[in-house]
Amino acid sequence: MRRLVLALVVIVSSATAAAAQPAAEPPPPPPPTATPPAPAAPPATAPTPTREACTKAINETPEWKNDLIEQLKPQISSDFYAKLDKDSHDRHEQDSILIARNHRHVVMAYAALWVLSIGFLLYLWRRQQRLTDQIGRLQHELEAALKADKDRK
Amino acid sequence: MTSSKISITGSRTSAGAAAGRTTAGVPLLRHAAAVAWKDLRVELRSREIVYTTGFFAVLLVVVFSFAFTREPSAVAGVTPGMLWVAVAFAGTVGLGRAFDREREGDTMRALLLSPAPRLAVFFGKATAIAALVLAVAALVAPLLALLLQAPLFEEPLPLVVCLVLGSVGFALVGTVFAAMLLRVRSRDVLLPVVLYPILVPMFIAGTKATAALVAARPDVAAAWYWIQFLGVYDALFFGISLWTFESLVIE
Amino acid sequence: MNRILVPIMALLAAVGLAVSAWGIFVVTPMEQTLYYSQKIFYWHVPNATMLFVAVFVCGIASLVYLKKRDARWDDIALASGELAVVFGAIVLATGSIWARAAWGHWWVWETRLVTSLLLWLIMVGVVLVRRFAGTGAERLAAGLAVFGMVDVPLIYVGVKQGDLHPQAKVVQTLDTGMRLTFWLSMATFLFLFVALLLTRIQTARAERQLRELHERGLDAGLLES
Repeated sequence: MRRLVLALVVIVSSATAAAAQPAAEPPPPPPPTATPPAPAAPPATAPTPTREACTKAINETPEWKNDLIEQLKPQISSDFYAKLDKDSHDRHEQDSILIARNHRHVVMAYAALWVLSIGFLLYLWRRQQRLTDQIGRLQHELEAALKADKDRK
Repeated sequence: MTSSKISITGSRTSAGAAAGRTTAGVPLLRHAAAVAWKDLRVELRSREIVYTTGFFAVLLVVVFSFAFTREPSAVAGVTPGMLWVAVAFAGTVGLGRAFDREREGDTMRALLLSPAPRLAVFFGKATAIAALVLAVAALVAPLLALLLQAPLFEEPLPLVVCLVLGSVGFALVGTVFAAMLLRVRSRDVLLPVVLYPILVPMFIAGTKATAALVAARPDVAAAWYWIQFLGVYDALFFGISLWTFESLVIE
Repeated sequence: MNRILVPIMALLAAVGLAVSAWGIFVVTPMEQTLYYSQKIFYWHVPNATMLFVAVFVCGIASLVYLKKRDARWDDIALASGELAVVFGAIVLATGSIWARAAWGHWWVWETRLVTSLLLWLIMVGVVLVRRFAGTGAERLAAGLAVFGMVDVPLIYVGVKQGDLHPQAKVVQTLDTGMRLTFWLSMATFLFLFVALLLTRIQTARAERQLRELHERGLDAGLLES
């Protein structure tokens, strides 16, 4: 009884100790190698004389600068999705649904858990069976031995 | 020498027990040194383990060179791993062989029956094994530096300290498990099976330290950090071995 | 004592499994970064905790067995060793599947994963040694369990320091709904662990006593084989 209480105390205290560890947190976000390649850095264009002259001219005339910005804006507009054709749009929708409701892996994980647990329970049951068989055999042998003993006497 | 039939008189037991239970530092160290010197002398006479294990390590290095380096640029990344894998494998083989010798001559029982405390036997054997592993490392490291043009000896002091601490750690843990496995069947395959998971932190620290030293710009500070880690590992397992060796090795 | 305790624990565990499953799939809200695959977390983490508990119990029981040579402690070490292997397998399987769902890879060389893998390998070694080492196997397994238990913090620190990428600790403050379900799952697996442990200890003890009886019968000349 004392041993059992001691064992329970050990188990509960180590459980609380273990739960206080980082193991209780969900895993950190994926390491950088797992993410898709980072967006390509802007090509490091070597400063040619033409480029330098243009940059200087643009910076000197603010109206030209604003005009250029206005012209380029629509090409990187935020109505990217609105301009997508229906196929791409549908594909984007489906992909986002897939990510948000990824049943497949959850089912796989729980299935793995159950398979392993039931496998262990079957192993336990098989050991118990073997034990019962052994007891039966021992009983049988003892009875035979005692009978032979009695016959001899 | 038929060691299994040593004539032991009754009086030896009490005197031997008293001597065996001494906890004064000096007799223990003297016993340990005697055991270690016995092992080393036997080894020096035949040089069997050093030659065979050393050659095994050399072959490993050559095989790894074929397996892993196809361009010169692969060198820096692969060298630390090669070094420590060679040390690990050759060390395991040597460890098994050293205890095989004990079993063949049935000298283990004689050692344990002698007045020397068990702990001294353990220290002595561990010292001998450490010397063996260090010899293998001393053979492999220059060979690697030569074959792969790896700048292993750029910072010699940290490298030597790292190898010494690694050998000591390997010897401590390896001796405990090899002694436990002395009379166990399938011990040849069980020794690596039980040894390597326990040695993992040592391998991590060793390879990280060596990698820091072999890099294009040697990071000596990082190397010393990992060497400290090795020191902690050695101290910890020294303590655990002290505590459990008596109960673990019965005969 | 076992007669009452094991059925109670088993019943609590069964009820807990059902309630926590309901809680996971019906009650808890969808998580914001990992979405649905986060639901694996509720049963993955308690299993991981039970792995560490099992290893700890095995290590302590092994140590006491080595010092006292009382075979009853060896029974505890045997049972918890096997349970550690089972729980470890579950943790690695579910963790790997979750990694695939969340990060796109089946395996990643990250601190906790590597620590769990090595711990599991040590416990598999303990179980293997018990089966294949012949006489003196209990001592060997006990020694390995003790060394393994001491080794784990070192492995953790070593791998963590060696991690090439910075570990961004995502300390999620779980919502109350999530937290409740999580702790319920934790309690469930604790009850399950205790029930399985006690049962396995019983079986181990019965096997040992049977072996001893057999020996006594042989010595007394009552039995032949």
